[in-house]
Amino acid sequence: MCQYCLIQVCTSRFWFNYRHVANVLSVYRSVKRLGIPDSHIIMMLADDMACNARNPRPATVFNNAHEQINVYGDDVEVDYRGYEVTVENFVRLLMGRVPPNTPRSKRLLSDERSNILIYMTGHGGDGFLKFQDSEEITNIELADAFEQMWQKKRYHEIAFIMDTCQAVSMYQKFYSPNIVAIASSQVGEDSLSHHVDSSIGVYVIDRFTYYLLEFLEKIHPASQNTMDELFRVCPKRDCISTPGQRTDLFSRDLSTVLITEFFGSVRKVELVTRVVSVPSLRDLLTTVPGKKDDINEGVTLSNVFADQLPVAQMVQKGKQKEWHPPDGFILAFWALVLLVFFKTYGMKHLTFIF
Amino acid sequence: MSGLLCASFNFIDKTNTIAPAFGFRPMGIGNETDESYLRYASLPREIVCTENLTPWKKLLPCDSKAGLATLLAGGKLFNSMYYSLGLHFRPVPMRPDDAGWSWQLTQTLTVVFDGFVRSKLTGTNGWTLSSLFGRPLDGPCPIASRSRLYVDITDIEQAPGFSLNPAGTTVTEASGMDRKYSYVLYNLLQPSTFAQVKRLNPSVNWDADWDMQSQRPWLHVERFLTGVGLHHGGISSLLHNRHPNRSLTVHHQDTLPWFLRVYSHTLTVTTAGKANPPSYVGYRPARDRERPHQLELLLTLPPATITRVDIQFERALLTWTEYPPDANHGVHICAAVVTAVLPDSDPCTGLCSENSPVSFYRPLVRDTGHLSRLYTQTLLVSLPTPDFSMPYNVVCLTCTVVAIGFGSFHNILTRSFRTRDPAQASGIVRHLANLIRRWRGVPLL
Amino acid sequence: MGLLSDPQSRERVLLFLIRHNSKLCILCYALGLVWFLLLPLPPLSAPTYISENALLPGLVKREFVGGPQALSLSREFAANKALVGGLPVEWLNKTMTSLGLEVHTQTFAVDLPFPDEINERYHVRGTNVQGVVRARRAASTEALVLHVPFLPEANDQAMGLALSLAAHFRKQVYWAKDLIVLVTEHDLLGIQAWLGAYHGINLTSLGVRSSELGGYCGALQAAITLQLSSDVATSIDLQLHGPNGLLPNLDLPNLVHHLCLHAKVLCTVQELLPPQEDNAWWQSMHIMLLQALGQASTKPASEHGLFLRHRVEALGLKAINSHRQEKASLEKLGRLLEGVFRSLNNLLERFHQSFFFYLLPSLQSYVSIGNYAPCAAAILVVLFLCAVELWAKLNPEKERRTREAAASNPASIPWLSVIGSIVIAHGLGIALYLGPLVAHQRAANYFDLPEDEAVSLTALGIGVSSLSLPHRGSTPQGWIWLKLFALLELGMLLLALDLLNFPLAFMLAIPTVPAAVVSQPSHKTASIALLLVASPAVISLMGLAMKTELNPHGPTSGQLGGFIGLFLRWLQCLSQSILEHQSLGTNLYPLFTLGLFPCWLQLWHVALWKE
Repeated sequence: MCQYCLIQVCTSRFWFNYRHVANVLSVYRSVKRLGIPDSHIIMMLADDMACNARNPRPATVFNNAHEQINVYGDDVEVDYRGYEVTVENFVRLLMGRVPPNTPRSKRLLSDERSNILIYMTGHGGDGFLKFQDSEEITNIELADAFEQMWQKKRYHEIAFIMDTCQAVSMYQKFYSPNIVAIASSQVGEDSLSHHVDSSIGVYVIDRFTYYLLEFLEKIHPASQNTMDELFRVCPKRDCISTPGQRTDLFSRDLSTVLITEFFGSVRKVELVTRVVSVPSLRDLLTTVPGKKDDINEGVTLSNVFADQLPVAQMVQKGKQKEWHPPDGFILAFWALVLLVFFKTYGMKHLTFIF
Repeated sequence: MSGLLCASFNFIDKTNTIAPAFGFRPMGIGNETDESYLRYASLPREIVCTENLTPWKKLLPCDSKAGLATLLAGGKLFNSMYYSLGLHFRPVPMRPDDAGWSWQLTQTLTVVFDGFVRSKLTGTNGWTLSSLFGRPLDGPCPIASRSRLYVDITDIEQAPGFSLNPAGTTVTEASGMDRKYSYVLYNLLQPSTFAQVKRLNPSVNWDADWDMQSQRPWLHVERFLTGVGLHHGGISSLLHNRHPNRSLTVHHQDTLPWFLRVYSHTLTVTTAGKANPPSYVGYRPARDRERPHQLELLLTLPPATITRVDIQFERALLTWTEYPPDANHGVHICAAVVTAVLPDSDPCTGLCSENSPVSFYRPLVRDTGHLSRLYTQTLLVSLPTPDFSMPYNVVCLTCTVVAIGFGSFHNILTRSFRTRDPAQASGIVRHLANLIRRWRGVPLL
Repeated sequence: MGLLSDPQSRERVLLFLIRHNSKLCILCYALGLVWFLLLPLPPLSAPTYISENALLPGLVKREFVGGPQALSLSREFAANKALVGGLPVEWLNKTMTSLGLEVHTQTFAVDLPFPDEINERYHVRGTNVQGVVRARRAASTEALVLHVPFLPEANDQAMGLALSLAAHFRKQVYWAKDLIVLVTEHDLLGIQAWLGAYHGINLTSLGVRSSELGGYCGALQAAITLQLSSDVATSIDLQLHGPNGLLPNLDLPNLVHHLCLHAKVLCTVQELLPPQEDNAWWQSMHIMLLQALGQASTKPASEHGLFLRHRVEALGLKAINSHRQEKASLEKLGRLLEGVFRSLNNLLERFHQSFFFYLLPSLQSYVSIGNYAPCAAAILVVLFLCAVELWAKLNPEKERRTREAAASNPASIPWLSVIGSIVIAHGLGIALYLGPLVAHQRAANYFDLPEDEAVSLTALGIGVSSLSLPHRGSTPQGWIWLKLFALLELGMLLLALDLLNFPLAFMLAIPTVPAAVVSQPSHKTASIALLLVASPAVISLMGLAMKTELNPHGPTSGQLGGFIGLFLRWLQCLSQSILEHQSLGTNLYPLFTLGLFPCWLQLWHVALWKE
């Protein structure tokens, strides 16, 4: 169960949407630094930029033209990738109604005490967000999904951050309690990208996320900064679009809510004075040979390796041809059928057909 | 598995799984050769990246904190020509004479670095471990029972100016009839390896103007699409047998998706222009949206020839929700698998042969020769796509035109029209018509 | 659609059409012509833009510094070319391997049906060389082609630049598609042989024997054909159209134009400067007419055109060195090409966003199919209007019967003369199509002519002799049936052609539609005059004359010998079109002989109808 959960969705595909993946990975990196572990993070990336063949810096994603920090890193876990990022999977994830064989890392293991941070980026419009250029999620669907989560007691508080064009329209229809929403641009405005990295040849980050990250870099796990400072993170002169926020559904006063209540996680550590002895690994390994496990109980295998290319068997099988009736027989059969037909129905029907 | 390795294994379903009859055999011990339990599937468009390497490394006993696995940093590994991660799981005997057996997990990582660029950039011909992997070796994994580094110097031993530092133990392997393989072994668990140097960084050099002639492998497969347009097409495989006097028996297995309507009567196998009928053809046709085409062939390739396998197909239209989000890119067709037992003198770096140092994960074959499994290129097939921007407009427009336009034209062409005088209408009809006319204010009938 | 089922409203429409028929015809024809003349002006032409967001043109920093290497390689190539006396395959092989490419060669052999006098070849043997830069982390599923055609006297610098670019590209890690550097011999025949072997399909009527091709790289996504014969260039000319009027996706020329603007290199189309403000209409019209004539000739503008038939978007880049001040060095051109290939590398999907059918009045504006289709539709509607009038004349209803009481009695169709005329016309069309190929050998021996002249004169002979067939009809009104059939056939032919190759259909429609409508036995002189002007021979002659006049940099018609010169060149064009049809699969000759000529001959019969 995650008490502090993060869901990140990058909904765009193709190389020219590099900046959306960089957005998501930058927030991921900040949040991991502030303490939320991978098991509490669900990351959905619609396309792979790091190992994309077009990337001149393989296995890296940068959010800055100076290329100082590789936000992809060495220890990244992408839960939903490629074609798996669909509206259906996202909504199922939120509501917990995933197929029975979904692994734990792809489930949102939250309960009524969880604070969930949801960050979405991609291409959006008035009232919808595009998923991978082929489908959309509307603001009404999103609001309904949150309401289902509330009814099923799957969250305590949600912070919803959206960096797309006309992002404000996405939170206008929310009606469930305890949701605070921040969006990067108003209805009718476009959310713009920040700058180009000319050695990679793409826009590397969006304006809102760039200033958001600048702000988050100053946060550490013991910071006392509050959530309402997020609203002022990107003024119009920097973002060019006007960020918006929605606080009416949130029960507490946002100037008292710490940023680390959503972006970080406090792990409970218990100090134990009892001494536990652990057998050495070498001892464990040497006691195995010859011992039969429970699962292998009763299964005896001969010490024989299978023939990897059973040519003789194949040739034998190839020689057995399936039996077909001879061609002349088929011809005669159809001639008989036609004769019987015309005899029964008479010649006048021939003129009808022709 | 998909959650563990961050890979999309959940996309494997019955539309891309086949049950090969002869292509794959169990690689572990046991006499279970019941094919009904064997399944083979591949996802040709998956990408391998750091998120797959990280859990792979976490399965190792020392993770990537100590031992050989410290070399595996994503940045250098993925900046190469080819990389492949593998997990193999099979039952093996504990000792050759012991009746006991247990499970063996083998993790493989294959990387091909670009030698051409390296030599041009640095000006000399050669490499060091840190130039390939970005760092040297600090020490072995303490809980490993065996930790070894082998450098294959078979091809460059005779080069002028050849040097290898630091010196290790030279191991010479004889394999097959006429080829010797030489390796230099560094045993990381021996204290002498790290006695002189704190960090092990083998470096190999040879003269810049010497041209390394590596022998090409005996068996080579190429696969490509033929045809023009979005309706018909064909797939051709070229199998090259480069051995001068041995003919090779190979098993060619193909999985084609159901929406490529393959015509099995167009299957032709030719060698140097003449027909070369396969000894075994196992073809299982597809069922729409249920299973893919499965084609298995047993071919005999004469020495020093090129054999061509051709098959024709037609593309089917999918329903517009079945297209992937990047529908104009095309769909990927999985690689064909070519299995052959190659004679031992095959020049493929020698690491494949039974007696080689890394043979413990290879299945033992009783014939002389070793198993070679080649995967061909994946293919990209363009599909005819509808206009995704306005599918409902198109449907409505065409339905309207067909319903109204076609209907009227059909009536004009096949019927003759005669006007009927409405004054001849019968009683009740005239009465009703007069009611309406009175209301309209026009003369009655 | 109640209009069509209600006999009374149908009758009213029919009466309207019959009464105002000639006015409507003239109006529609004039509308079509005026619409075409207005095409270069806004709002019918719109400014160009790049529709495919993935291209990201010009965003990435160009790093190509191989200018001196390109120059030295081109000198070496020229020297080796002179040494070998043809394509220096060994040198190319060695150089490409030393640059790190994977080299494959293909030998091909084509036997033309008769000798080609212009290119001086008959039995063609050649070699194509292809060097492949494999993408590092991609699975060789897609490829881009940089094509340099081998020309005996030119194109050395293109070769040097291509090799130097390939060397630069080999060292980079950001390729998602393989890059093929392709050198082909014997211009169009070589590239046709390579494409046929690569795609495993033969789109021509000749058998091309080729060796097994190696180095398959997956589906070809785009191709650039480079022609560069000087160390510096003042402008880059884009060559667009391919065989049978095919055009590349509009994004590709837009991409190159955008990058040229970025690099401050002059970019032109049809070898004409961009239209200036003061004379905008005529200059745009000039460019558009040249493109239309090029497409109408069904001959590709350069070797890139043959890629278009295989659904590979391709563009020809020809560097021109004129007397302008600003010169672009090889390095600058190399950076331009690098930008183009990096943008093409960014694509994930094949080109599908922008237009495939368009007319370019300049590189800054385009006319889409929705805007130019009405002019052809307006002109073709005239044929169908005339057909409606003829049909009404043949099936007079009660009202009309009273007016022509005596002359009516539509009787039965004079089957023999009408069907006979149709069959003879089509038979002569087939004879005209097959005759020159089959009979040229005999004609050459008998008349002691060079082979290709024999071909064209045979065609001419068959054509002229067909004019003199007897035209005796059985009934005075029988010609109406024949004319109706001919009008409908011509209308369907031009309509179908309009969808495939609009400029050709439009240029054929302009003379043939008036001739078809006017031709009647009662207006003998007028119809004969118009029909002669509309005959396939004269149409192609006029097309050739227009092309010569409009060609900005070619010799003028005076220099080419006036009218006699035009006629001789026309004969050569005739044999060339037969040759191209056989060796490349262009469709001009079959269209004229199997499609247009029978219609025209039927109308000729109508004009000379004797009772």
